[in-house]
Amino acid sequence: MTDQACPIEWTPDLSVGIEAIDDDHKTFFVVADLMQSAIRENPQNLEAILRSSITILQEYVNGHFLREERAMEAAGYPKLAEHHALHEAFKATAHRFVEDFNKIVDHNEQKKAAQKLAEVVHDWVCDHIAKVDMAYKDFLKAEHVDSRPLAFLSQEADEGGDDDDFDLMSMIPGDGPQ
Amino acid sequence: MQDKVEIVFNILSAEYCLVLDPNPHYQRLVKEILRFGGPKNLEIEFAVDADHGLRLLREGSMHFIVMETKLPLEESIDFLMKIRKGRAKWNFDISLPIIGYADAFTPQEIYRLRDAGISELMIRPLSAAIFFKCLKSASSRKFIETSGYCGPDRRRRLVMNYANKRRADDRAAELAEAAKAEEARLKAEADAKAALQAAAKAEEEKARKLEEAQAEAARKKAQAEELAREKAQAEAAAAAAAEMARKKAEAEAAPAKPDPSAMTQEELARHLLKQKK
Repeated sequence: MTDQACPIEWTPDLSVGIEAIDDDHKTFFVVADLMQSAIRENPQNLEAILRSSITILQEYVNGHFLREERAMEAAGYPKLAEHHALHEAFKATAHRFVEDFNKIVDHNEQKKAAQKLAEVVHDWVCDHIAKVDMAYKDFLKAEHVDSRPLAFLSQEADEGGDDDDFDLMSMIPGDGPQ
Repeated sequence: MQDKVEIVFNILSAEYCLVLDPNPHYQRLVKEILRFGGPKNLEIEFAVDADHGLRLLREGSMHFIVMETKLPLEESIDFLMKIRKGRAKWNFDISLPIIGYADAFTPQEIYRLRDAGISELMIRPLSAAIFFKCLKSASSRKFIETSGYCGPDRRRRLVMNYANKRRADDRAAELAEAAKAEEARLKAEADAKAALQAAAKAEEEKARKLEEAQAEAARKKAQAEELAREKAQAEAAAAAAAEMARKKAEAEAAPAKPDPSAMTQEELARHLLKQKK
């Protein structure tokens, strides 16, 4: 799908009829736009903003794909295997982009790589919704879908995640004296 | 898993949230993180500095705060302390979870933010998963109000002796323990100093003895040389005496040389004739 065919924002004609999945799709548009607007405005801490955006994007991707695939499985969707393969292919593409981005040290090259990733995400989401997700529009029902927020699905998708990896404050020696 | 379900409910029950960050890009990112995992109808207010944040808190209670902790740092710490110690002043819940983030923290900054009452800290890049883990941890932490500290329970390590007990109750014991430790430290310091002095003294004594031994050796060597020299002189004298004796003996053994003055006319004539021959 080209830029002309794909809107910058999510539009109702991209709806698959299930609110939780539509919300996920909207979020992909928002994060892609967030990256592109940061690149345009070029703030002082652009690299940190891009790294945060990319981290969140990866989490979105994992959580959303898990939500869709669980719903397809619950509904007995016959094209689940094909759909899963497309998800895996996109995850691999995004992973490669992130790996490449992490190796870049030049500021301008980072901007170019992030711009490319934002475009790839935007175009892929448009194309994927229009051509692949629409195929399950009449098959999946709301009751098949786990409607919890993406954060929880993302945490379940990241099975290797350590529950204590966030606890920065316990890394300093000594507790408070209360 | 049961634990997670309970926390989901707690997080999802929040309706209002304050985001304190002057950077519009981070405001958007945090908004997306909250949308990503938070309550569907959560209302988010954005503040660009500490005064703005306090004004929004006074205008309407929030269920939690997400903030940049380097507004700069002093401003963030002041903001935290005004909230945590403002029980009598504010109409809002001073025990609400406050999640802070920055690009990096020194241990000193973590101590200061913790003691000012921050609930949890995150390092950028921001992550939705870590953000919700922090919110989960902050939601389950007790709120402590004492004369010296107001904020979430700072104890993060399980110490069995302190179950249901304030560590501050053991302050006297802690002070006595600290005094004892200080006394031991001073004693160890004095012992170490004495040991150093003794070592220096021993070293000095050793050097002195070495010097004495060297002087003694030199003296003995000179004495030996003197003895040798005297012996050589005595030997030379003995040799000279022996030579003299030998010559004397030779002289004595040789026929006596005739004395012309004591000769008669006839003997003198014979003697001269003999010499002439």
